[in-house]
Amino acid sequence: MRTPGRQDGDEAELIERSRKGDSAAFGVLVERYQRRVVGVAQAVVHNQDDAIELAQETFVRAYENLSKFESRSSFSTWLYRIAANLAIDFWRREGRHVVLHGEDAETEIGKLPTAQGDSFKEVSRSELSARLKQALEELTPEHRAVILLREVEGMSYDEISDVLQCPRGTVMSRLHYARTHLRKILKDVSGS
Amino acid sequence: MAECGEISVMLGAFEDSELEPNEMQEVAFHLARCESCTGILADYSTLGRNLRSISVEPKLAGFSSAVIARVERLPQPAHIRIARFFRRQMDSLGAGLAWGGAVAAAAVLTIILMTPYAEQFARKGAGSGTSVADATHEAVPAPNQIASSSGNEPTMADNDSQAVISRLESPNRSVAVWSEPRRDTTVIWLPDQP
Amino acid sequence: MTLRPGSLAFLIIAIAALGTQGLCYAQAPTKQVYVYIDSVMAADTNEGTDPRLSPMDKKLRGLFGFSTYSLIGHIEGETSCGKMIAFALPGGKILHVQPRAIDNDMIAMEIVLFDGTRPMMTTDLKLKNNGTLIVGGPRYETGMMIISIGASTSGAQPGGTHSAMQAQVAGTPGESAAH
Repeated sequence: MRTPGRQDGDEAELIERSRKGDSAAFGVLVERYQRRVVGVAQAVVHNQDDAIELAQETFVRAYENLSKFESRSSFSTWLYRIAANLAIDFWRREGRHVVLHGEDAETEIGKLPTAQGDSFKEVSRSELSARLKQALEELTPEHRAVILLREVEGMSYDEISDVLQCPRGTVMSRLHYARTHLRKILKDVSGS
Repeated sequence: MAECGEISVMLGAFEDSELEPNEMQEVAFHLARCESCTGILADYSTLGRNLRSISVEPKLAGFSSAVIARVERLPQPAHIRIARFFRRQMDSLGAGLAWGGAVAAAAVLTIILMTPYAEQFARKGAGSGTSVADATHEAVPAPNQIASSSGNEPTMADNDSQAVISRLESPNRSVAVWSEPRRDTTVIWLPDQP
Repeated sequence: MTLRPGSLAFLIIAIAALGTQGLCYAQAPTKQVYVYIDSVMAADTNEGTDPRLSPMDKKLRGLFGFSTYSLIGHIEGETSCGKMIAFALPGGKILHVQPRAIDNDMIAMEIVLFDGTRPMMTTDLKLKNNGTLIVGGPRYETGMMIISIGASTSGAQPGGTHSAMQAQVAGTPGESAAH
């Protein structure tokens, strides 16, 4: 979802200047995409501190490899791919379970729907939130990435397919699996 | 008619508006008649909302400067390091020049624009009735013509409301459109046909 | 003081060029369109207005003469010009919204309302940014359905319901989820 025309021309110039060593121009690109790059990394590793570190590494890698960037894909997609690959490698390498820090574990109780008439009936909201986070951890990084990129980052299937470099059909089947799995777990929570 | 098993795998994509139009229609048609699948769809919507509610907005203060600091520590060819040095010098000079130049440009433009009027005023004196104001005319747009079909004659929407309707088609003979300028609202009325 | 036009133009351009040194690039904002759909059941059952509909209570009462207004669905979506977004509404209705262009704070769009697979209405319109369009009339349970369609380029919901995330009213019926 990008506005063509002026932004593309602007971006092409920023990339060219960055290639020539203009760090201020690269800084503009960082500010433009930092939120989304962190979001992509967080969709895989699900820990904000790690995601921010991975996002910084993403931009550094991108800067180092600007000469290899071709305009076949968009700059943003190229960035997100780097972020996703770094995050998946990190997750596999570290192989650790995320410890939920205090602020990550907080839920905004008022944001959850009222229970009456809702499919998930009367549940403790903090319990629901904790169980949902645990359920996300139980998914593989690939399944977690697609569901969070779709639901939290709002990416389209084509964008997710580009970023994760897998066919659109794979994105759809992983989403279906992730939704079915999470729905079942949440139904169990609401039923208990 | 599609079975629930076929439809259930498409529900997520329906929710995401990622199906082909004919598939969207097929799922929509099934949902209108299947409470079970409608319930699953509602669960997917709730799941999405819950996922968004537990996501934490990242704290990005200082992020870009940290990245730039790392980037600038990377080994660079000599010509790039020299270019960076001169660019930094020009940036600090440029800021001062920018303000000075902008003020000077504004002053010159003001003088140039006001000089003819000042001369005119001095020549003709205070008693002149010359008006230099331009009249602007706002065209009052004509009420929208709404295309009718199936023999309808819908009422027209007023341009004062928040919506300007250029086309309205409906098989409903009783369709009507009206606007409430005081409430900034346009209403399309589609009563069920007997 | 008089100057020849050519010299004058050169002077202005030269000063303006000096004046723009060191200024930052402006970023062109990406134009997303946020669509907000509230489905309301209106009836003559004297139950008052759903508290979540309080921002539009006056408007509803002024437009329609019912004594009960209940929020039966709230759904939101994000799209961009040229991309259609579909919403499943209560009562088997489907709403397609496709923004076409954004022109002077007006969002041009096509809206199609289906009853299952049967199109009920197709309209091309320009809706004011942060404005709403009301579609009313289809029967729903014991009353009538009113669909409030809002669109915004800023992500702030036009004066519609309190969203599900903010309502703190106990005992109110659950609503359709945000998209």
